[in-house]
Amino acid sequence: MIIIAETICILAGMLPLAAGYFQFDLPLVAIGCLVIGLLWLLSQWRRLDWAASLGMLIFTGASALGVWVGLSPFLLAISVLGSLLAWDLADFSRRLRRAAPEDNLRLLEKQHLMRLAGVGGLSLALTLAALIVRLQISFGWLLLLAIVAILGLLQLVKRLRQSV
Amino acid sequence: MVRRIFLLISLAYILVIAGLATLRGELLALVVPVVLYLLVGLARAPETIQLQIRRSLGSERAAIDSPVRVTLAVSNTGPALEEVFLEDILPAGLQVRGGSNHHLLSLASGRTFSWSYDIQGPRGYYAFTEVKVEASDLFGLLHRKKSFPVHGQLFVLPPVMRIQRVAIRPRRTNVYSGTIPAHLGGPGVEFFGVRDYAPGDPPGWINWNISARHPENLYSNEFEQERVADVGIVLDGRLRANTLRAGHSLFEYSVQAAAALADAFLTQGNRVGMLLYGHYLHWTFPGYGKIQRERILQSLARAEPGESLVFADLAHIPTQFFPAHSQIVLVSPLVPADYDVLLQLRARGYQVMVISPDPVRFELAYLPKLPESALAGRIVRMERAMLLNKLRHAGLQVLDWDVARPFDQVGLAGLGRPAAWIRAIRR
Repeated sequence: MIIIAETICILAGMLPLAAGYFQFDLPLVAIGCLVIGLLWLLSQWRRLDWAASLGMLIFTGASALGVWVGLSPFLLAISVLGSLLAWDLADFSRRLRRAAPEDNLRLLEKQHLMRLAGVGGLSLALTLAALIVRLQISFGWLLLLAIVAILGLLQLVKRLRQSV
Repeated sequence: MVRRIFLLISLAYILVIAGLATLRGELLALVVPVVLYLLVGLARAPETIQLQIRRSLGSERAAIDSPVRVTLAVSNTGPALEEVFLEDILPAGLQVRGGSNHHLLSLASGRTFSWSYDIQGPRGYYAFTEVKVEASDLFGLLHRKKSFPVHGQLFVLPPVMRIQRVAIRPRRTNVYSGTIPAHLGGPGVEFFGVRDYAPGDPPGWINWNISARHPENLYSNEFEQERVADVGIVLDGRLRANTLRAGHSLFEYSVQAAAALADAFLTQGNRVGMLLYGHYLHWTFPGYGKIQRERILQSLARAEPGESLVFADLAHIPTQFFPAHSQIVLVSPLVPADYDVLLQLRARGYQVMVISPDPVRFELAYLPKLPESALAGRIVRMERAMLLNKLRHAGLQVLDWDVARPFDQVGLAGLGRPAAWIRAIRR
């Protein structure tokens, strides 16, 4: 079940990017995305765990590049989301390998996929909303948001230190 | 695992900075999935791990390579754990034979998860100490690890081969009746001598032949009393004496012999103590019966060969542990330097029996069949034969044990009491 979901997510990360770059007459970049996607798929079957992080970074980078080139932001959002979920599933399947044969993995898989589907759906909705809804914010609000972001980061680092 | 969080945070910040720097809102929009994923993961991360764990073993003592069932019950007394990895840490040497000592599951608050698995292992003492728990959120972003001390122990005891009877004759015996000839006249089985008839002697004891020759008096036969004795078993655990070849140690055979002898002596009613002489001294105080048998077997389960400068030779055997004129049984492959020490023991009045697993045959069995090794084997065997002969001439009872044969067979032939007619000829 996980391997199917992971394959779908990798394809969701790869195909929109490749299609977008083909549309913009950048076939080399498109082929590069396809090759990297296929290598990612292959690496998951060969259980090369490090490949997922690399694949996600490359696809996100390619998506960021796509914004600069002018590709459809919807395609890019789907690509980022797909690669993020594929990266998560790769790590999840790595964790599942520690399970004993008699463990009820279907339950864990089901819980995980449901949570992931929820996050994916909400992310997609919010991203689409962010792309459609345009707000003009003042510099003061921008400053406030930046401060909140920095404080949030500090809080997160503190919490991580505690946990480690 | 923290690396994953930092990867996502870095990615998010790079996209935000790139979006702000290029004034492209689309880049900021791409951050949304990453941030949402992070927030959901961290919000559901486990705060604490509060578990109650109990472990029970099917048996605390087992035979070598026989399976023992381990059962664990884990109760979650704290908040729910979405993804938890439980691992019962096995002592080194034990192997899982059936089931699994680790599990990955989701454990709701108040729920209990139980599982069992089978273990087996070679001779030894195994102490269970802890159960490791690793909990994380469903996305595996934040992991919490905790070790729960859950103690338990397992003795894998050496096999005990039954030897019917071991003939020993220490100079001193105890007061209780047993099977060891006590050099004293009285009720018994073996003929000991003739004395004047005493009122109350059973008519069957009267020696009619002598009484007929001396008609002025009646004479009665006297029998040798049989009593229990003090026996001290010394197990030689020195590495220099115990050969190790292809993962097989001669020490294991010494342990088998010590177990069989302890069992035989205790079955005969004797008081038996055991000294492990290796990189340290481990003394099992003398005692009688089944409890003492269990103590000695547990001590043998813990026994390991080792090296120590202090105990490199047998000169430091603490003789104060053994009562004067008692029986000492040394289980050792022997090295030439042991001769003087054994002679000293004999001179102090101890009756010494040496059970010596043959290191030469043992080692040759694992060496390639070359003329050089055969020649070397012959030379070493001759040296060993000379050492054993010298010990026999000094009055020690020596059993040269080829470990290819089971000890009970060798012991039956070499340690048992000779037939009455053979003893009569020897007299």
